Amino acid sequence: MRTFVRTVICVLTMLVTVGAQAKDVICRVELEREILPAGKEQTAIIKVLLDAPEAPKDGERPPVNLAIVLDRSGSMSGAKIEKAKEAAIAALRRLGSRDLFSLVMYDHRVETIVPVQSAANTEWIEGRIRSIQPGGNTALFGGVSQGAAEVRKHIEDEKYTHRIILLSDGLANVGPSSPADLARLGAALIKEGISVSTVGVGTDYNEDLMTQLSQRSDGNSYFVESSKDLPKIFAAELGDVLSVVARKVIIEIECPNGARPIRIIGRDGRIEDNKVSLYLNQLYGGQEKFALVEVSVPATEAETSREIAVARCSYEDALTQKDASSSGRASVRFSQDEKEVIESVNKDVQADYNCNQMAIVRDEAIALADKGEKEAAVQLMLKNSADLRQLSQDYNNGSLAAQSEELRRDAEELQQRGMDKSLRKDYRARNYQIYNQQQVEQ
Amino acid sequence: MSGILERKALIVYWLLLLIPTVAIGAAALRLLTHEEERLEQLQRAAIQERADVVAADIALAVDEVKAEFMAHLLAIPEESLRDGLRMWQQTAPLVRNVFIWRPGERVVLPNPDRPATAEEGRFLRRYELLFSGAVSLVPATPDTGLDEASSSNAYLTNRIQLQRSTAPIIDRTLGDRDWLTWYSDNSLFLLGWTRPAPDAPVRGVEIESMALLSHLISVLPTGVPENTAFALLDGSGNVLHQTGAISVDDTSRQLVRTPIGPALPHWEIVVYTSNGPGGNRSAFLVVAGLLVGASVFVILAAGTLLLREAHRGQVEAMQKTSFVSNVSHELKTPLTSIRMYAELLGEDRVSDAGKRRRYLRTIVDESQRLSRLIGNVLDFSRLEQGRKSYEMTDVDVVDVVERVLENQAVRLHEAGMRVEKDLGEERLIARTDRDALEQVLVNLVDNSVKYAAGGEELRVELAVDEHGVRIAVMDRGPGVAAGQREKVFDTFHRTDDSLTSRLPGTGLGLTIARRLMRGMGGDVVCGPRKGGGAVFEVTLNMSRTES
Repeated sequence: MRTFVRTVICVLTMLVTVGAQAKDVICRVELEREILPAGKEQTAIIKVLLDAPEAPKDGERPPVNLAIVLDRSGSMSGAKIEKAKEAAIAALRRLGSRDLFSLVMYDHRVETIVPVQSAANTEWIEGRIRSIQPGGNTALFGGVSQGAAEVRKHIEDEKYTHRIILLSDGLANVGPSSPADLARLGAALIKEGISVSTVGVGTDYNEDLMTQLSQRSDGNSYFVESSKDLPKIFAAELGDVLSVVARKVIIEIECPNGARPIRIIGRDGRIEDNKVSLYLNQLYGGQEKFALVEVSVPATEAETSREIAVARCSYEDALTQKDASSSGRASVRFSQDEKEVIESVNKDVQADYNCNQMAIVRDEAIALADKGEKEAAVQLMLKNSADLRQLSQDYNNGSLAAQSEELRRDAEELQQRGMDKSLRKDYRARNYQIYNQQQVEQ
Repeated sequence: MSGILERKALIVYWLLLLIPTVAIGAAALRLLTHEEERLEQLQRAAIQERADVVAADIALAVDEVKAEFMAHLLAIPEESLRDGLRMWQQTAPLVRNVFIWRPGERVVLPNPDRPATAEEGRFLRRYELLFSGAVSLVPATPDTGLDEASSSNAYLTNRIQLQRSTAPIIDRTLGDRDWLTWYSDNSLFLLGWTRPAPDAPVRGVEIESMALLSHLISVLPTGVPENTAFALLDGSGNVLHQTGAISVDDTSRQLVRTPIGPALPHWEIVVYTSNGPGGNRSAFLVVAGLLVGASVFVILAAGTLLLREAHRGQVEAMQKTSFVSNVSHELKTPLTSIRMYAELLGEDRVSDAGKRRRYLRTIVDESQRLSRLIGNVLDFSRLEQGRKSYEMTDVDVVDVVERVLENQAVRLHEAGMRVEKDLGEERLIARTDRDALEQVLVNLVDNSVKYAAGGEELRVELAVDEHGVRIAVMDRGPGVAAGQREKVFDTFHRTDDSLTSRLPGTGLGLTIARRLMRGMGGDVVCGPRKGGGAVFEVTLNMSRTES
């Protein structure tokens, strides 16, 4: 009987622990190789994972402060603007009465069609959205600024998830319109907790500008060739926005014992001395985000072990607005046995690392192709593909072989088609998904 | 001759009307143009004022940010400077970079050997010339300062020259709080720094220009006058943001421009208008011109109508004068005959009985003519005044025609005219004024005697159809020209001068005939006769009674 009671208590304690755990973000650190060759300076690859808990299914969720910024320049006329309106209305309908909604549209001038207000006023808002007519140039910067101004009206209220969705099909031609300028705008907006998700329609928009804006503000980036996919994209975006479980996520990685971070793969972050810090505006329920860092480890004797990374993730619970944190750490062992080193590889981490590396290669290929050196771009991709194939054989990692194959096909396609608008966008979109671990919705 | 003179006078009158009217119109247009220019100037002044306010607002907003940042920089305690600056950079949207620097030495933060982020690397490169001391900020004599700079970077020299010429603060001694406008990659950067104590390191901040711009955008007015656009332009003339319905492009005309001032050197507020040069003006002038043209037209038209009316009155007066002299003449001729014969007979010097009879006959004839004349004049005056009344009775038309012809037989005979009649078999009873009908017929016969004398025959035909009775009086005279066939019925009208001068008459006979007939519901028309001559056809538009 006593045993039974003890068992029950034990089970209950576990359940409570599991329950508590399910609400928290879990921070883990994984290593590409758990065992490193001894006696020489080594480069280790660490992966810091953040496992966001599932968003409560039907329970309360944090309210959303959503601004939609619609391009209504002349080129949007016809099906595009109609689908965009439909998508905006569909997004509105997914919001609840506690959520805020605003809509800004722009051509050469910027106009607030729906000033920020409760999303419960659907009838009036829908009427306003349906009245939008296309025409004029593209003042993208002004549009986003105005959208931000609408969101900012409630920026002080901690409970909201702030989000701008920018939809455009054209090149920005009024106001600042270089990717670098928009990146700076994104970098400023994230400091206010505002993320900008960008949706590019067709093949004429400037994807660099759009991805820079969303990347710097930790939003999502989408690319649709046909406007009929817009409602689907908006639904996916809303799915993310409505499931935010953590905000103001700071990942700090400290490398003790003489280990030194070299670079962050795929994400923007800060490396200062032996510390790495990264900032994410939010985590979506049930999704996994990670950061990859190359760390230089000093030469160490065999059969010793050394802690090389301590990761700490601090964030704000989106629902309760309480600060929370979790941490993880990783140690490596050193060995003379090369076989042992190879066997210690974590294939997932290796795949993720190389996946990011291939994305960087594709970005470099774009840069080369932009300069007119298509042949060099193809060669770069082929070389990396071959290197990766070799690596996959060395480590017997099937994912790497698949990546190598994918890169080779990319190279062949580039060889045949040249870097056309559509291919360039495809590359950027895929890379973006890899860098940001954006869920594929296309 | 008098006609030509008259026309000349008319033209003179008309010119007298035309010239002042046109002159007034032109003067009105000119005034309107001036007024329009004045309005445009007023509008431009208002817009200029508004642009100035916007520019001042923007400068104020920038200055506020600068002041706030400077205060924040100073508030960070020396011992936690590094962390304080970092924290600030990570949370303040308008802060792009922060730095700590000991002039003359290397930059302390960011670490020049290992920038923490790619942006820090760019920041260090951007201000390399400044931090390395290649560009001196300590005011030296301008020459040496420029020489030093020109040796390192010619492009930058120009920029620094520009910024020196426009920056209000000449004293750039480090240690003071100051803001530097820096140009790199053709973009503007704002760098602020301060040194709390002379031995302390310089702490500084770089403003996030894009975030600043994003905030400044809301300063531009949204409700702007139609056809204008307010735009914020950077130093290269790029439109950073615009408001207003029109799209700023190469075709837009600059209306006014106001520099933001030292807060953002070379940046401007420019107001554009979509109208080309004077576009608005020409539209205004077209409308004004149309209005003025319309009033000139109305004045001229009214003047012309008045002139025509006056001319008609004049012509009528002249006709009346000639009528009076005609009538006098007409009256005088038979009177002279009557008097002469009466005197002859009175003196008893005519012994021949035949002669005496002939004289008496003449006196009677002339008296008759005289009474016909007077009858006509009286009738005319009655008709003119609308006092003529008709005594409608059942009248035997054939009988009336025969009596008139009988009475006129002698005259006709004397005029050498043979009378032919075709009056039909039956009696025609019509309801009409017997005297009036008689006078009409007498006038028609008179007319024929006058103008168709020697024309051999006068034929009178009587016909009946469903419309009524038609009496046709036909002669073999010269006929009436097609264009004159209606005019012969006009008051005082006489066909042509030669005839008028040759033949006596008042010009009233046919007029009276027509008016009488129309007064009784009938009509008289004139037409050509087959084989030469004229036909005057009288229509008695009335129901035929049973015989």
